[in-house]
Amino acid sequence: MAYYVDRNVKMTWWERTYIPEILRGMMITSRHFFRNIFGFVPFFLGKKKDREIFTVYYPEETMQFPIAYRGRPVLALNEDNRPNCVACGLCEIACPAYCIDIIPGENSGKQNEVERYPVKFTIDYAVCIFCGFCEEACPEEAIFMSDQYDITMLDRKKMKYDMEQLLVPVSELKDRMDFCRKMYGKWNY
Amino acid sequence: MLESYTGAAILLLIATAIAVGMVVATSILGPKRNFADKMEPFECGESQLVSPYQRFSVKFYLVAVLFILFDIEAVFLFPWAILYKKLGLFGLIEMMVFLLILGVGLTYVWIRGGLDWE
Amino acid sequence: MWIDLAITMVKIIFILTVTVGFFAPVLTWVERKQSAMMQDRVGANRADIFGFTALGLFHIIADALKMFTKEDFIPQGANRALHTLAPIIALIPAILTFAVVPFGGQYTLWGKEVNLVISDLDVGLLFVFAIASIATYGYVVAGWSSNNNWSLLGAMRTASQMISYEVTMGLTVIGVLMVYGSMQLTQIGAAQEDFWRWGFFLQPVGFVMFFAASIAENKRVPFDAPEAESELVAGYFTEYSGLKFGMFFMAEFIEMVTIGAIMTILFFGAWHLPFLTTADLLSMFDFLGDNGANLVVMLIHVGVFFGKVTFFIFVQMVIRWTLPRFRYDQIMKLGWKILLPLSLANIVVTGIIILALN
Repeated sequence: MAYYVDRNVKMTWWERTYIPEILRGMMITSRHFFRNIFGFVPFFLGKKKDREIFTVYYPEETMQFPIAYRGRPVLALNEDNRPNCVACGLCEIACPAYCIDIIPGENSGKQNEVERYPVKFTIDYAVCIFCGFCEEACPEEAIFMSDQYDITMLDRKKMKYDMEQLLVPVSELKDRMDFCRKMYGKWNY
Repeated sequence: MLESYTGAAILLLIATAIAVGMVVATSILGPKRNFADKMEPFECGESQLVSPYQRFSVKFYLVAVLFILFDIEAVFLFPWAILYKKLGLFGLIEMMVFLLILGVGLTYVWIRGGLDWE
Repeated sequence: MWIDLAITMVKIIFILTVTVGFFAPVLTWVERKQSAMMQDRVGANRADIFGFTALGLFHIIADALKMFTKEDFIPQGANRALHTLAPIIALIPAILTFAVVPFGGQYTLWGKEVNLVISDLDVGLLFVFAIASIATYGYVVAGWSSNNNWSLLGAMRTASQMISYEVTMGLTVIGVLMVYGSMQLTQIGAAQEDFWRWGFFLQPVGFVMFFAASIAENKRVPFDAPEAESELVAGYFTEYSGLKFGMFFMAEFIEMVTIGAIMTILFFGAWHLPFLTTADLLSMFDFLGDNGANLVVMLIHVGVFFGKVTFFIFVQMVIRWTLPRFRYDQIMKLGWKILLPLSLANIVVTGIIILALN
């Protein structure tokens, strides 16, 4: 909500000397300083909970993201050790950054076997914009946004993940799957 | 009298040695990789549009002139301040006259807008 | 003669170790760490030796090594000689001001009068101002020789800000000089043995004004318009790299210590503990013998002095990370239209009060 800041505030003489207000500001910063220094200096002794600093020591500690967080997209690997994906190509079309690349394969059509499967499935994370459209487009619950965000490589070619790197057991994606059913249920199911 | 400056002189020599040593060290130790684009003076990615050696605001000169005026005033005040307790009332009145003249000067500059930066 | 020279050398080495060797590098770490704490962050803690980080203290070594091995860069069209000379001119005065800063009183050690100041000049305070103002040349030359628009703007701002606040600084200490009747820093310090004779109580207005003016003189936030990174890239040292840049940085941090020291001497009782005179302390350590007592009192006084200096550095850091930068016209307005008339009024009021009390 936009609000209007009155910049022509009439200040009292006491406020216009600035010194008391400067002192008040300094009190606030020094209060933070002293509160933190007692929580910080023995940080290797205490747990993170005991510290006043809420900064995360990143590589050692990672954050817990809410379930709606969109990290890198991954493919679901179902209980039969096959990807859920049927290579329909909807995610490929939905992708606004054109980072998904699918080469489909077809089965002969025997009983108890899926007709189509992806021969190759690559996502270029250097291009991906983490929009989540692929997840929304997928009719087969095959592609999901995980909570991993730290995809850093020294080489751009390595940013292109193929199927083996993308597959994640479906049991790890349970929460996200429930979330997606709730979110996109209207259209997909 | 000059003996009391011995320490300061030695410190000056050592400070000079430190400063010069640092400059020499950094010019020897660092790598030297020069190419044309890099040697350009920094101007947020652009090549230099205008030379810096041009005219700039007269305010800076004005401040310099005023500085000379008031710094000399301060220099007159230093010896007076040290001897103040000996000079007594005479010293106070004498200096008040001096400060008054300078105060008038300051007020004049103020009213004429010499201290405005707009 | 030779003994005096040896004592002087010991004092010089001590001062250099404390300022250049200890305060200047540690303050770079302190500034990062303290700002982090104030803003609820963690701060520098990555540099390690064998996996041991020591609260990020090794960043000092990493920074020093980096600065030494960086390329020494002089831009095209710059005046090479002046460009090299500028950091030297900026750094020397910063160190040299410590020649007159006393870090303790007078003690009798083994029949020798030891005065804890490198050279006890009778124009001490004037010497500090004179030397400190030479640094202005360093900054202006740095900006002028860089052939860079930002540098030159920063240099012009530096010059006019520093000379403006030099006037104010000179006029604010007049009150202190009138009260103590001396310009010798050792005598000003010695005169503050009694707690209620500290400059802070005798010159409260002068204290605030001198602190503000000296921060402005050092060009730190909130008076850092000359090197305002959001306006002028880095001001007068935009075109400096490696240790030359580091020298400007070091000069700034050493000046912080100088400001702390001068503030301590002029306004905060120098090396004296409150309510404990030197004679009290000497009688307290009487059981150690004459020399021993003198030695212990000397160490206590030096410790107290640098403790107070550290406190003032802490206050400067708090100010630096609390206040936003002033606009340039506001800085000049504060200097010429507020502090200058106030300091003149301070002189008049001090004069009348001294005369009334005598």
